[in-house]
Amino acid sequence: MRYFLYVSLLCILSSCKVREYQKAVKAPEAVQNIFSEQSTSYQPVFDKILYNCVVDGKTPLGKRYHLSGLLFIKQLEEGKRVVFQNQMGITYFDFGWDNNGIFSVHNIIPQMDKAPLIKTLKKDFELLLFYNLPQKSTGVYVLPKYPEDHYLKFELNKGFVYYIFDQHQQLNRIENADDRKKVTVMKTSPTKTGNLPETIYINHLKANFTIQLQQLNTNNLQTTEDVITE
Amino acid sequence: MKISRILLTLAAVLSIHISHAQFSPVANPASVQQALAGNAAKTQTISSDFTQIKNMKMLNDKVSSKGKFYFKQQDKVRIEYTQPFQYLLVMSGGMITVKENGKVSKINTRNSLTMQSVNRVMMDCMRGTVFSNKDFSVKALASTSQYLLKLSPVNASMKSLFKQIDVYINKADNNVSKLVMTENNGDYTEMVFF
Repeated sequence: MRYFLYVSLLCILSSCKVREYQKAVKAPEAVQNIFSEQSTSYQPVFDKILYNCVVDGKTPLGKRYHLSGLLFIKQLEEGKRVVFQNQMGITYFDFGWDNNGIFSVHNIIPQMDKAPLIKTLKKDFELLLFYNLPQKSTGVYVLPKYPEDHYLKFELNKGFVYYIFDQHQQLNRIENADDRKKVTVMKTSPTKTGNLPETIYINHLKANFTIQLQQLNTNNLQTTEDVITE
Repeated sequence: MKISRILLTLAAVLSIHISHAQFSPVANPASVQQALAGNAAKTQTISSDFTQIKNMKMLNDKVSSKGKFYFKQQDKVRIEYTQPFQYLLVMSGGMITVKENGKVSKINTRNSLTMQSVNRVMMDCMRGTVFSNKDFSVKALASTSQYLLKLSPVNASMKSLFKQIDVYINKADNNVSKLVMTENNGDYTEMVFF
């Protein structure tokens, strides 16, 4: 009897997937043909972008925390860099990816130097930048709940991600889920392929924190010229 | 031809050398400390516009912002960023109030030693009373027109945030003209007050 209950519980748990996604069906071929299956064709093309960034969350013990500042994303010859700093210029973290997708932490304040947090943030930026995804998607899907939207799916090492496009083929959501639940939901302003969104709201459902990003005028960014001063 | 080339090079080197203020160690740091402390005691309010540039060495890039700075005796500081974002920070006693995106939040620095240290060094930098700050060792230098106070962190929490803070003070009025905060990775933020 105990064995039967145990096996039943296992069966129930293994069949529990995100209900919404259970009803996903592959979009008609005409829709599949609109979307490229190559992940690299969606990567935003940019030199540098500056966002106003606000992070709000709650620790497992219920203590609230709040961080804000500027998030700077830059494309370098040797890869990409993402730097989050406070308003006075003090760096919270400085992450980088080389051109082979290898990730490095260049700098991080001790309070944020926690492996699960770094892993979550790394994944956030990779999803936003369409970076380190499988070469090809598994296809485009439609959900009865949102018939106007098209869900472009990529399988990940753990779980999967849906990039959700509106009827004008503009990205407006990114949803990452594991086998049972949604993990992260990102809502973006409508964004054409090849661009980074102007506004992004990232809700980490498991990790219990949010990130709000608002693009700022890049006139405030200046490239340093090499000047011999000494 | 060779001599003129040598002379030209020498002139170029000298002009570069002269264009940067020459700072040398102060013979009597106690007198500088006294002068600055006296000025701080007399100063009721400070009001100043500022520009801030964060220099990111490895990224070969800078981020600039602008704002307004206010100080009121004994310990009230208001820093208002106006470009490219709106952000208001008010320090009063042990409390920090922040206003951004229309939301107001309060932080009690008494719960965090790091926040207290950051709060205190900001106040001390703006008032020129850094000699009394226990979280930093201070080296005083002077040029013809300015003092340069070099602050090196002595405790672990400040060492994790800063490699060094440089405070430039005009001799004419003992007011802070520039702050340079250097991080451990070499990136630095310059705040210039005018």
